[in-house]
Amino acid sequence: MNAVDLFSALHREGLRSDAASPSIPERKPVSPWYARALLGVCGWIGGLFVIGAFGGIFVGLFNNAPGLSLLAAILVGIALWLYRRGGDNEVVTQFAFASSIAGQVAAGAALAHLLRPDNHQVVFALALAVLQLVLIGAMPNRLHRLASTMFAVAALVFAAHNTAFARWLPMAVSLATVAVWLRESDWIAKRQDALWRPVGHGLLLSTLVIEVVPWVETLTNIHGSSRYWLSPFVHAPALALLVLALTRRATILHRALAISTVAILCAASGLAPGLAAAACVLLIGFACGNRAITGLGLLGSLAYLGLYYYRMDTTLLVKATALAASGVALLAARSVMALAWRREETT
Amino acid sequence: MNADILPSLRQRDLNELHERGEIDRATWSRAMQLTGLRPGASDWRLFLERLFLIGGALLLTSAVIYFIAYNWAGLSRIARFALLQSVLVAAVIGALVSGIDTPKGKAALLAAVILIGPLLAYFGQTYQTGADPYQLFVSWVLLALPWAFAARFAPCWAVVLIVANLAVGLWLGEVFRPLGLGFSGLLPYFGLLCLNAAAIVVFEAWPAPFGKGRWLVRLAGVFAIGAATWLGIWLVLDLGREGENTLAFAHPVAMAAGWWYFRRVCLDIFLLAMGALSAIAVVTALVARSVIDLAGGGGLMLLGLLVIGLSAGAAIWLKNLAHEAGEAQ
Repeated sequence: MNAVDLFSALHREGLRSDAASPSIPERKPVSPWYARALLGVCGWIGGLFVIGAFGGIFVGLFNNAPGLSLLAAILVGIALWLYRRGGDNEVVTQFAFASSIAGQVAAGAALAHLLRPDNHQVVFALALAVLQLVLIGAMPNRLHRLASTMFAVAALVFAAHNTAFARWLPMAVSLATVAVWLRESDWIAKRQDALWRPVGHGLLLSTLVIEVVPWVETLTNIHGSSRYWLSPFVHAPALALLVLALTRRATILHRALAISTVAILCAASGLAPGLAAAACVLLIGFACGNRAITGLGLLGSLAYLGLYYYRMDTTLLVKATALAASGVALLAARSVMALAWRREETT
Repeated sequence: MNADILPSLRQRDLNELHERGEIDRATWSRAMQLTGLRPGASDWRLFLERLFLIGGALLLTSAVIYFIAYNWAGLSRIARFALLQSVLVAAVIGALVSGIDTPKGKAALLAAVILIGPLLAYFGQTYQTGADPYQLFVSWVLLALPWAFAARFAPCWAVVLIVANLAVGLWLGEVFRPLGLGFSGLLPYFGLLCLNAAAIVVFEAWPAPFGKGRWLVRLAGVFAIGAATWLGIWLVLDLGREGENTLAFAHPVAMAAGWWYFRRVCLDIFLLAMGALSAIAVVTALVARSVIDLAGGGGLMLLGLLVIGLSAGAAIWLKNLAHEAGEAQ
């Protein structure tokens, strides 16, 4: 639909006082998501090569905390300068990203010398998380903000490991994800799209990684513990919040049906919480009209179904029961929804 | 200006209008729906119906597989066979009753295509037939093919493609010994490249039986590029036995053919991006072989700069292609 047709339609619906179209901004070339993913992977590898090179140039660098701190400050400073000067130039921003990654590795190594993670794991991981939060605010680049969001969540996972908070972290991440995406219109209106969209993407990826990737999942594991009763509630608040927001203009019957589906799905998949996490990503992706995120949610749920088989904390019989209950819940929800839609059409 | 020649609006255009305060929140939200950039009520209905149906079928199928794998002591051998076969038969009957062209029928056939594997595996485990593992996957493909053709449903074909990859990989890796020679390290990757290249040709030339969308072509493309990349790295690092590296020349040939087809004949920027990533990996391995031993970290620095430069160049190329095609959002 072009601008003239759209603003005529909006005028007819009473959303615009006149049918005239405002001037449409000039179109600049934009990288598709897979080109940005390519940049991210290569920039990360390039950064590791660069920090490895510094290790070769300055012998003993990795045993010298002040030297590492100085190098980190220089590399991150160069990245910041390049980002602020380079604009959208891919060559400059890719150098900046790699420089920042190298600087972050140097900063991590310096912090490890100072804080001794063997003895102070929580403080060390929290320091890394704070560093990433500062970088999210400071670096004016979407790819960097996405990567820093994921690194910040990873640092929080390590900080929470072996503490009572580990059980609450997946819930906090999925809730934060939904909270960010439900305010999409607000952050666009406040000209904060460049900050919050990459953060939102980073949180979506983190929600999936925490539940689907086996060794990460074990760090926040609640399923084999005495708190297993928490399991069905891990992603229920996020899913309920999301569904309530998406159905705010629907009839009471549809809202009740949607919330009942969330409750039944969360209860049925209680011992397989990756399904609820993937459902969260899937719904956000579809609601935002983003096929890549929707595909990611689908891929995440399929990956979870495959990897769930190898989890050691429950028997295959328990897993089969959880999956069968979830499957029946979905099919039952579909039948009830179809019935409600048919009844609505006839009335 | 003639409204017919105006370009379609993109999400970025509407976001920028919202950012400039030209449209408020409610108008932005409605505009996103009217332009098809956000789903409307009918889109949600279709999406949820399909998601719940296919998701439910997949979860129930997985539950059956997990249950059989549990080897519940209370089930006899006959009972386990009866359970697997009855679920398989129920899925096929469900497809026939619902109609193969309906979403329910397609979901039931997808479940049936998946369930063939566990049934064959349990058969092999119970009767110890002595068959090689690849034979299980070949049988799975052959038995699934008629149902995949009947369903005309891309997820069914995706299962067939993945199982066929396993069959070819296992056969060439563990069984096939050309001219009485020993096992070849490169042959499985060469075979996977050929299989997936052939699949792309078939999917593109006769699209009708394979369902809608391009993701099946992209799945085969990712498998082909993965195999070709391994061949290319093997070639430049000279890891193969004498004479074996001839197979690795398939990497440049496959990259050139892929570039020609997906750039010139049928533009697919996603697969071009995967090809660019593969080329970067192979070129980096080639340069690494020469410079990795440079003293003082110079080699690593050179490699870092190379990866950064090549990836930035690839991103610029892909961005321009996407702009030409109007694909980026």
